[in-house]
Amino acid sequence: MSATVELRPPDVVMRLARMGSFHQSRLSFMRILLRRIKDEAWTFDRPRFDIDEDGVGIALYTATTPDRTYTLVAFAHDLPDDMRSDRVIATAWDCTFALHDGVATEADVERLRANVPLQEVGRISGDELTLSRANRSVRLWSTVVDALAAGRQPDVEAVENVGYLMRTTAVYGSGKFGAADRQSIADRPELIAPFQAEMLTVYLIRTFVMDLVEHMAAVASPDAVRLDPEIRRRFGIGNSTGLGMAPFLVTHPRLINNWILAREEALARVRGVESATADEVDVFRGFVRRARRSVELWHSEHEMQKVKLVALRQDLDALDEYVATISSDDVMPWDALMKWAETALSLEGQELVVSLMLEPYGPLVDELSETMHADESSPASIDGSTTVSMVRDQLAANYGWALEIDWNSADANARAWYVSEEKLEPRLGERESEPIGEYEQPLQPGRDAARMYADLATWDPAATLARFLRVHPEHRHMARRLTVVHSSPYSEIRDNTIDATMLPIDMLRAKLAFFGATHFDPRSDRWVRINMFRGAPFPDELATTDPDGWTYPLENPAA
Amino acid sequence: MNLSLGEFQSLIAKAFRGAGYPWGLTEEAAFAARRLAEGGLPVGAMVVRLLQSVDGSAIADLMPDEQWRSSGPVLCAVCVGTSIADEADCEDLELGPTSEPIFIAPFLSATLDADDGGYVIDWGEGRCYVTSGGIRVEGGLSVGPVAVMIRRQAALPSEDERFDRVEVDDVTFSALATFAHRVYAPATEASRLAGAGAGTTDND
Repeated sequence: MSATVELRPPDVVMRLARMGSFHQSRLSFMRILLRRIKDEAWTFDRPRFDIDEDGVGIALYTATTPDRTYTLVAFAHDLPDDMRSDRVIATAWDCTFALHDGVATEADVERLRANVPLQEVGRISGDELTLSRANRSVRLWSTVVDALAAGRQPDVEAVENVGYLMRTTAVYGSGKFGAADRQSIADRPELIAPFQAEMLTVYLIRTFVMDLVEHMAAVASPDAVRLDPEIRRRFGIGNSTGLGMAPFLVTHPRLINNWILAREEALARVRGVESATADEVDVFRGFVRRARRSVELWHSEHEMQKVKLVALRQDLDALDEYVATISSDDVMPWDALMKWAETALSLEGQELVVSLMLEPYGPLVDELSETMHADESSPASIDGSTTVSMVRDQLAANYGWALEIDWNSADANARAWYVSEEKLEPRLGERESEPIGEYEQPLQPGRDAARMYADLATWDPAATLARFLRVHPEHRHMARRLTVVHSSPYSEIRDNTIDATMLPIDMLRAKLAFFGATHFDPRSDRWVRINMFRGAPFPDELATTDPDGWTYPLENPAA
Repeated sequence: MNLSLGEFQSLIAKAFRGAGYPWGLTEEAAFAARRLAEGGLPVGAMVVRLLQSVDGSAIADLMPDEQWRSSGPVLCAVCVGTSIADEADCEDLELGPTSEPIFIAPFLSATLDADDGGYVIDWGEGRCYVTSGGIRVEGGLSVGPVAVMIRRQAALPSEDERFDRVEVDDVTFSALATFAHRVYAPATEASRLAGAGAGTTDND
């Protein structure tokens, strides 16, 4: 039995402070991938592992679905310490990778060997799906190698404090640097959901990294031991994500709508459950306890995140008390929980409750993963017959928040997104003090909506949008965004993306949470460190493990 | 150079932006270029010719007025195409000198449904037949601004083959990259440190 519960309105959901508090859920892309791997019983192999005693060489890892094989081609390098440079300007890495579409031949490997280590300066082909690289965690790598070489397991606390042995700094897909276009592979069931090739890449990298660390220990000592599987699972793959990812949320409005809509629909379905079984309540309580463990492992030095984590821990105390009262006799218990959370918890806590509520209800919500993709390669068409007065009404309905902002104030229009000729990556600058205004990218829909609204005011209300755009082609991108947001209400961030106080890490977090990342650790207002696949079963363990529960640590893993 | 369609589309968008087009038009220009490249046309070179013919013009001089004339010496086919798409329909049209008229085709195609028949875009030396599903060129490509006729046409041929990669020669790539480079802000230390959030090392 279920009742209909309204979706949360976009004016509530699409605010940056809330998006910057999103958590991974059953609909995260890593979890979608692992569920499929298990459901379809993919097989994995390591046909080649030619790594020398200095840790240099080539390894191949295959993942075979019922229909085809993908190969991670891994290159391990000897990176001198003086080349461990700043993330933004690095030109060399400990390891570089490509995900090859099929079984990689010797000729493929040689072709990739000449290109993949160069990353952005090299070229891959339509037979590759991703290009990526990773660096060691200097603080943990030698600790683990030394421990294993000495015949003992590494200190669990040291492992948990860092959480990864290598950290990727980019995973490029979707046609970048010559790779296959998404459209050319998007009809494969295993790649329909967003970012599945990228997630598979990271999942295979994780296996490679564990093999590599054990190899280096074995090279160092004949007495070396392998990692205990229970400790091994505690390693994820780190990731440093910078500003480059932030514009994606603005430039892929239909895709973002489908991500958020799927999650909001899932939430509404669970809220609509008329009564919960005792089992479902138990599962939920178990996940609340495990979420607490996860939050205990979540460290950040960033002042703002520290404040959010303090609040989140208090939220979990309050949630503990609340969940003790939930019973199978309650009417619509999850709807009541959400209403309570909205009044009692911080945004971090509210969004964690959203994710936790989905956990007991896989059969009700997992199918929504099939609705999360979108083809963004063709621009949405503009209905030129819409009248000026209708366009103004639509702008007021969807960008009302932006029309209330005084865009002449220095703070509201303080920043500009631009692309630097160095590294060709998106950056965010101060409009007043830097010569960047003329290079501004169209990543401030709020301001641009307000400008269009003002220009429309001088037109005959009965004139058509087609005529308006012939005279004002500078509003064309905004007209298109309006078309999209009119039919896809979660497509637009409903906050000022160029405000003096805007935090790009909120944009990064929203996207990374959908990937399935955990333990967000902002390193500044514009880059964040995360962990991917921490706690996940390895390929050889998936057949006998839950593909879903791993995102929260077990309450008592040793038991 | 062998490019993915997405890479090509992104390069073309930047090239149009570099030539001074508003963002909204660059998105559609790039999609039109991708669509034509899927049909195997030498689109990179066509874009270079188009951008060179309009470079330095104000966008207002490239847009068609209500009589489908431009106030400048040449009409841009992308501006004509998007304007036709906005009207969702097109009567027979005679256009003054228009740069790379084939670029009108993807926009006309988008206004058509499967049972709508089609259009022919005729520039003298050659012509282009357009239906909802296909774009087919006969005769020579235009190599400079030409007078163009657009007419409704009943049944029409469709393309034979679709390509999923784009081959761009070095000279063309370099010309496109030169236009595209104009969208990039010069590298400065302030940009590197503040703009990207660099400066802190990530080697823990």
